[in-house]
Amino acid sequence: MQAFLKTGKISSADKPSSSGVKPSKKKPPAPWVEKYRPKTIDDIVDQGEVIQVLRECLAGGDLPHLLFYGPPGTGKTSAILAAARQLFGDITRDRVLELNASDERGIQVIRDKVKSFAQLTVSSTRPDGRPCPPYKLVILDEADSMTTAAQAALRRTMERETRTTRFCLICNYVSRIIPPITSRCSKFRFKPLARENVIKRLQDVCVAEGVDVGDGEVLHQAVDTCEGDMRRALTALQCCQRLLGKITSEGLIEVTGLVPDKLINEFLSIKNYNELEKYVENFLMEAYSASQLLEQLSATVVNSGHLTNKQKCVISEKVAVCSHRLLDGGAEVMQLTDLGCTIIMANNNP
Amino acid sequence: MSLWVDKHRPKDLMKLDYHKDQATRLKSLVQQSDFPHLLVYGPSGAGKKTRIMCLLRELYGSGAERLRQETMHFTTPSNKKIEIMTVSSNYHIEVNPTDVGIHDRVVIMDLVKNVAQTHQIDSSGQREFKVVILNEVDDLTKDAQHALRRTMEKYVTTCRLILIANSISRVIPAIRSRCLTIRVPAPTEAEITNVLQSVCKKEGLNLPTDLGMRIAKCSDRNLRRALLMCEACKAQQYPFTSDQKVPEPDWQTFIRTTAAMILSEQSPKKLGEVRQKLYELIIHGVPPDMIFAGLLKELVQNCDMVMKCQVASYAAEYEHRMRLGNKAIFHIEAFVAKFMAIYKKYVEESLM
Amino acid sequence: MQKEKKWFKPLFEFGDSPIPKKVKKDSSKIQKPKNSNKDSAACQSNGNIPHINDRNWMKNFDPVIVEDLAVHNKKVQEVDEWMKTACMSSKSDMLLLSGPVGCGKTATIRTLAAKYNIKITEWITPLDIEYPTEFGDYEFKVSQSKKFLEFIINSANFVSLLDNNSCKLVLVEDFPNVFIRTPSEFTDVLQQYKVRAKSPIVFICSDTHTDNKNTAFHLFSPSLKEQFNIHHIMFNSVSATGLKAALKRATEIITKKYTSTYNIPTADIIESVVNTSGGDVRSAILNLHFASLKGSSGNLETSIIIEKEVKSKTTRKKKNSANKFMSLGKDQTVSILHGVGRVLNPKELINNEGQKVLTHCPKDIIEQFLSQPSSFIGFLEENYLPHFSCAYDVDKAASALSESDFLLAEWREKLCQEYGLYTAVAGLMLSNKSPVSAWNPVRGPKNMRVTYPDLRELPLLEPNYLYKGKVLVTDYITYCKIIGNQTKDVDENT
Repeated sequence: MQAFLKTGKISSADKPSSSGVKPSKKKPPAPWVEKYRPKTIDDIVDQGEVIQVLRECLAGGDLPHLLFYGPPGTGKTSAILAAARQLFGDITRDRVLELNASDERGIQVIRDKVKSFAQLTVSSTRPDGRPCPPYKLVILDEADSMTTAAQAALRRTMERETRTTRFCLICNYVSRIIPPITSRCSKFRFKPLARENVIKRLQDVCVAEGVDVGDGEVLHQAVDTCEGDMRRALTALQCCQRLLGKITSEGLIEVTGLVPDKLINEFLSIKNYNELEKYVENFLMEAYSASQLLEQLSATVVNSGHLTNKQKCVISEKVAVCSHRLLDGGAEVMQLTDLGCTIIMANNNP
Repeated sequence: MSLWVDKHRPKDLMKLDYHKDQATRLKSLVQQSDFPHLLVYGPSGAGKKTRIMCLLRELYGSGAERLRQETMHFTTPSNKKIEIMTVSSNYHIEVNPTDVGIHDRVVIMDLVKNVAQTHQIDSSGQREFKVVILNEVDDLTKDAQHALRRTMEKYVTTCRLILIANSISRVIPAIRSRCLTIRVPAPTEAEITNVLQSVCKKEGLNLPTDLGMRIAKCSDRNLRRALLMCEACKAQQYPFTSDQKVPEPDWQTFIRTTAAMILSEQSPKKLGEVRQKLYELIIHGVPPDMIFAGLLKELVQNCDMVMKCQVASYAAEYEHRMRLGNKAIFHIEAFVAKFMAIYKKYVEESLM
Repeated sequence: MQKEKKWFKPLFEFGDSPIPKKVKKDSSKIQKPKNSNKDSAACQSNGNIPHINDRNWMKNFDPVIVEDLAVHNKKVQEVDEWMKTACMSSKSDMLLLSGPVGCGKTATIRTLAAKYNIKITEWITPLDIEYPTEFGDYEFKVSQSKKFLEFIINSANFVSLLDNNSCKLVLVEDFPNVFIRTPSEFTDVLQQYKVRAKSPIVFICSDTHTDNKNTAFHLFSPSLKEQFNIHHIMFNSVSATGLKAALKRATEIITKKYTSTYNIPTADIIESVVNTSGGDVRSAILNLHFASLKGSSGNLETSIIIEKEVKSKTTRKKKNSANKFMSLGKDQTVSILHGVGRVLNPKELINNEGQKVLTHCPKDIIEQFLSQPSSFIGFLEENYLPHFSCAYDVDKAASALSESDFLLAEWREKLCQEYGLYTAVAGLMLSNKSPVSAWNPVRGPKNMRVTYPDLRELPLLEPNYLYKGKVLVTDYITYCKIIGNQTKDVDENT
């Protein structure tokens, strides 16, 4: 059923592709993320209040415009997809338009595709005569990566087509959505998942897949490395399983591209420039990712016991600057050297 | 006659010289019913391509080794004709999308589409997908990377992508999460020495241990470079002596002399001469970030700790600007000028 | 200027047979109504001055005999030779004249044609959009290239009843747009012409600074020139002496006939006009006309004289009087070099309050280059170093340039272009505390295209392997050379 939902979404979001990408008999196994997506909103882990509100909405058969925001992997997409399925059942394919950041989503698409989809009126009965809600649902995933112009174009459409269409915007940062849109939506914040719930869910999946996870220690590690992001945790587990045939902590580090803690602590304790030069060279030769290092470093620095507040400030600031430059495509060796220098200086004057 | 690098390239996953664990894992991956998209990353000369070619052989048999070169033509939305070199076999095709600069997006989308739409005629082949190998994915424009992500999902039934990158930092997370990432660390110096020894043995040559170790040290843990160095050594002088000179890549020498020029005199006139050198380097295709790194490495040697930090931080800043700007030479020159100013001040102060 | 020329050319010269007349005033030419309007309007603005001539005043100063031409003698001779042989043979010979705007290409042809009594027929691209159809679309009745071909062949082959000249010449200065889009059509037209026509044809192309608009370069490729045996004569801009001579002649004409309309231009005015016009005769004559018109000119002249007393250096004077006419003169060519000069050699003045201010404020300079910021900055970057003497100043300047390139890269935001330009210009002007005053030729920016080594030069590489440009440069090329040399030696020895 879930696979069905997925193909439905592709074909409605896209022109029927000429290559005939019809699911063949030997379809590759679905990603666990899709396979174990919650089927109903009650399966969603840990978002009590949001689910409560949604449930009431569904009971009434009506939805407001929705804006879901919160950290990645907390069940935003799952929630709306489950809700849509509960609302529309097997006509979901016709009633839902899902667009995410990888679809073309410039202002032109908002004007043409979304608008024309929104303008279609739909009946309040299913083909088989049973009643269903008389509206359609447009899901804009990763809405914070839409341009402001496109968002502005959306605002008129949202207002005008309320009668026949509901919009659901999903984003990580609500501050990147323009205010006219946030004011038109009911906002729901998804909070980070509680650790035990994530682990329980992961365990269920592993059991269902027949994967041996031993005493579950690796699952704890998976949660740690993925910072509470359920999707990342699941993807990591699956990759590990695929690559190694079993799930081990080394395997998890390998597939998530994590930098070993040893290297991070080493970086923080560098004393002079020569050491730094060697460290950076070695680090890059081992093909670790500098941005990953910065991410982990930032957490380590903040929680570190032996650094003074001043040192933490200086280092964290530089981490932010370097991380920005890396994102713009700066060379890793330069940025790491720069950051390393700051660390050395900070270590020398506590 | 071909180079040792090509001649002695391992053809079978099990015959790889290092990262043997990984090789077994890759082999088991091939044996599973399904094959994911791959993202292979690691520094230059670590053996990414070699591993991929072995993998293809494992997937399709020796047919994947019958290669041919052709030039493909694409038309951009603005009606510009572009052409790109490809190497392909019956089962895969390989391109460097960065060759076409900002038009990389068109190439990726069209190419993958073409490949995905031409069905395998030879149904006896055990795989029903073809493989597209994209080089230098980390240097693709953001636009192209986003396009890639969509493409990967859309044509997943008929084609698989193998992406090659030097560093994973510049690959967008969306692509990373859709691929099985495979890290290929550079071989250690000891591993390089071993490879050199075994290659020399196959060539019927006797490589002194010292020389082998020195070559490994000079190669920056780049196996390709090490092998080339070794062959060049042989060309220059055989039988080997353990104290013979190991030739260095000429651009590195060039950067070193440029750095020496900067240290010798700090004046606008000298900067003008340095600019000529930089210009030479750039138009000959030495990547600007390597020029930056090379200069930094040479220049800081004569500095004290505080200055080193200062210089490193400016280098990082200008390098970042260079990434976003259009003209690399502006930024390298600004860095050199900055260094000259810092260094001159330092020298003047120490004289007082 | 180019545009203006296109504008009035059709009005005044269409169907005009340039019979040489010593006194142009009396020539019996058909008067176009619009023409007189324009001139009378111009004259009205001059107050109560009686207008002496309703005709296009530019015509008054047109060269009449070959010696009047401001073009270099050699070039005139070259054209002369060609015209003699071509018109005698009455074959379909082709000539291409190219050169900067206003260097006298058309004038040369016309004057020479007059000398040999050759009839010139010129093609003017018509506005061939008829009426919109009922669907609101515009339709082209006949394709431009077809019309063009018909016209040039007809005018080459058929003699008009009205004149009995035996020689004819077809002149094409105004190329239909269709050829610029699809040069192949032009080749077809030429092919037809070659076969069917019996008169020579002359093409005139103005050079522009931007390559993509250079008709001569685009349309007339070397292979095309060879194919049709097109004789190509390149004109240079008119030299200062040539210009001066032309202006002197104009002054003579004024003194002889039009003292009522014009003041007699002084040597100063002529000099400054020569300075501003940048080798463009047409613009020089125009400027002369404006500068010496009665009524408006009085102030101008006196102000020049006053300034002359203040400044003693001749170079200064030139520059100043040049500035006076900046609004009249040609902007483009002068300014990119001038602009570079102004930025790199900033001059300071002391204002009324005793503060130092820049003579040319950065804001005024950048206004001129907003349309092409990156090329201007390219020029600055290429040329700034020799003007600096101190390493600290250079640091600031280079940093400003780097910042500006960074800003310019953000092409989506228009403001960034302006700020980027401003950063570079102001940064360079203010950072140089101890400038070197020496003459430095201004060089154009370098072409920074990366050329990766050609695979064919490295025979050792595997033929069927995809090499990355970067890796080729950083790893292969050095060693392939060493190894390649060695094997060559071995081959030679054996």
